[in-house]
Amino acid sequence: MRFLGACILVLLSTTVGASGKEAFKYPPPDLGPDYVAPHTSMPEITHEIPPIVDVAILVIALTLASYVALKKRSRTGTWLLCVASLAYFGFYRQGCVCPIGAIQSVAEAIFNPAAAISLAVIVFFILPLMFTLFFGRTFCAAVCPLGAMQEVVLIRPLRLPKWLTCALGLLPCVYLALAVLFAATGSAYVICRYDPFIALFRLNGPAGMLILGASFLVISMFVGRPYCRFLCPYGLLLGWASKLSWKRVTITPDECIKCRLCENSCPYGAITTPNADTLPDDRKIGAITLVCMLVVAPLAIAASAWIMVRTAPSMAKMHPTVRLAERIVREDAREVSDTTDASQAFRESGRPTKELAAEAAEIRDNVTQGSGWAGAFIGLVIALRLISLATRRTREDYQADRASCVACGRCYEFCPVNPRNRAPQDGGDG
Amino acid sequence: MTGQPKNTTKNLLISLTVLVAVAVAVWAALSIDPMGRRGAGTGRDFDKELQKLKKFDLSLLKWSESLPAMPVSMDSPVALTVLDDGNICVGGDKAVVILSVDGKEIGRVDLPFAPQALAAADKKTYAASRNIIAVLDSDGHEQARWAPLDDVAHITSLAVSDEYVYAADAGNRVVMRYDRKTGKRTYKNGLADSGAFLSGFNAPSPHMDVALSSAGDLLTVDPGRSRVQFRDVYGDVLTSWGTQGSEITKFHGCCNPAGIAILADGSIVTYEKVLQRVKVYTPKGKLVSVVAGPNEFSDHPKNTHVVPDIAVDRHDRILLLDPVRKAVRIFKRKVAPRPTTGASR
Repeated sequence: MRFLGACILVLLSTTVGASGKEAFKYPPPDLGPDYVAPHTSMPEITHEIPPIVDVAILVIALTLASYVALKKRSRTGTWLLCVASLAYFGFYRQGCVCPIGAIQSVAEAIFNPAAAISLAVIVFFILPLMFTLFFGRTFCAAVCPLGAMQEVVLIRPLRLPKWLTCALGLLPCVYLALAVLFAATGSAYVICRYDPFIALFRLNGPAGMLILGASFLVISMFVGRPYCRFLCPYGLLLGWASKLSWKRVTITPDECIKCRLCENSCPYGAITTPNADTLPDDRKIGAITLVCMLVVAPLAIAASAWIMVRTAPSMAKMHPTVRLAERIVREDAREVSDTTDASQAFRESGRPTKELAAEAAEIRDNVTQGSGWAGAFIGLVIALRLISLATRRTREDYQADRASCVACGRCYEFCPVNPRNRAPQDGGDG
Repeated sequence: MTGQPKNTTKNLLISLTVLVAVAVAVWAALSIDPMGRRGAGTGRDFDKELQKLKKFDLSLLKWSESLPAMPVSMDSPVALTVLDDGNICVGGDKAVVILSVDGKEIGRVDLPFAPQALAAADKKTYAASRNIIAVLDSDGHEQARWAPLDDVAHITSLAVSDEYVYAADAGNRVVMRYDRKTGKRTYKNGLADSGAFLSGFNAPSPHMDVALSSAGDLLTVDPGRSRVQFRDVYGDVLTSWGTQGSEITKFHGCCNPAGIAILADGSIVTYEKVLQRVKVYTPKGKLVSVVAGPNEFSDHPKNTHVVPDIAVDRHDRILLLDPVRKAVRIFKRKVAPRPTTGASR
């Protein structure tokens, strides 16, 4: 491990010291014999904080979050760490680099060998996943600045209907598929573009972004972590990893006494209740439902893929080259009377229109192909969700749902078995 | 008993707040415009609002177009000059075409190069193409060709005096002076070290113009600085004027005026590209009138950067070679100006 750490340190430090190379793209204009052209200097690229520091702080924060959530079982500790992460990764580092956005960089690097990706981004993408495999979603609990932002403003959580939570819970899968599709085809980084809190972290941004952030803050006051639960594509990956986690948050450190005190403690609807009494006696119905769902699954995948392929021409417009090619066609056909910066620059470049059209056609093909795969992925997730709903699982205790629990630790405070909550005469904390 | 309705009302209010916030969030997300407005790839802050800039005071419009225009049978007519006999010489493709005063084609001579600039005096026509200058006789046949300039050269305008031929080279951003008799280059103060007669121009795009007034002043355009310069026979600047701006009195964009011509009374005719306008200024730089506003030209993006050549004929009419319409358009002074104010059309 030490050797691995040293390797990462060396690699990261090599990525920091790159400096710009002086060169004129165009010869400078002749401004006359009396004009003395100033020497053009390229300042050294400087990082106020090297990426290695961010990575180190991420490791420390993840370790602390895991320790506080699993070992100390402290809601206060988790909350304090949450505030610290919000201050550092959110407002100080202005939300960049973050694992959520790193999905796109990784996807682009996988599908486009020419795309560059820094080691820090890879580490930011992988580390929270690794920690989740070991300790559950402790990254969401106290490290993610987006989660922290929503966590600290939650004042009066509403309990959302189960059907709505289930339906909205599919959105992250769609968002993930689209984000990977757009990044892999070089079209756009939609996660960053629509990050609701980035404008707030930077205290700056377009009006639309600021309003979006403010709206999310208002929603977050009454709906627990709306972005994490109903949009975050990285949360979806963490949820899957969390299902396989070695250790995870448990409501009670000991045997559940079914006191029901924790039942309403989770604002995220992540506590599953005992269902032994509510399951139907006839297992045959459950089996038939499961078979039906298994039949429906391939249809859902095919239907979703078909829908995505049908929408591919529209989605291809996210790519600037496709937009430019279409714009040039419209201008040439005199469908528009004005021009754009991009179309003017293209015309002045002298590049043949046919070449641009061919490039755009290739991108459209890539997007269509990728849309098919993205649709199939969405369909698969929907199908698996349907199958899981049809599957009988008997639960005897109140448990934190492996995938959706964000390890915030609220339920600890409600569990009378938790030693911290026991009265002194019962021997707690003592 | 009273606690439950109170709680219900509270929950209802919260639910409404959340719904409104969701609606606002959706609206805000849609307003982010990921594709750039109109597919430009840039936000609306980067749009060029030319429609607003096209408006000007119509009382300044003291010229009218005389119809019909003279059609030119060329694919790419680019150069224009008025010959001694009043006929009009148009250059383009790989030929020159002679038009009579009433617009009929009375001659056509094929050339081994495509003329980009023309000037005429004493029954001789001077034609320039990129880095070469050729002397044509009155019938348009090539008599001589002067030593070519370097490969960077891009001659965009010629002017002829009794002794010299001046060539504006936008490629090197200089003005060359040639001895008319020998075709040799002559230099300022006789010094050849600068390599040009005049240098120091700022020409970001390939448009530079040069002209001679009846008083013998050499007029040069420094388009990057939006200046029209009056120079003496030695090339020294006597006076210059021009301000960059979109107002009708100023020159729009980064490199205008793109072309000039001189009326009989010494007034200066200017042509601006992109926001296409033809205007007349006094020799001291005061706007006198507008010949043609932006709506007189094609505003298709392909055409706004095409620069027509302008000239003044013996009847003091302004001739404008419109490469889009492939015609010589004629503008005459109006008898009485229109006093109205508003959009140009």
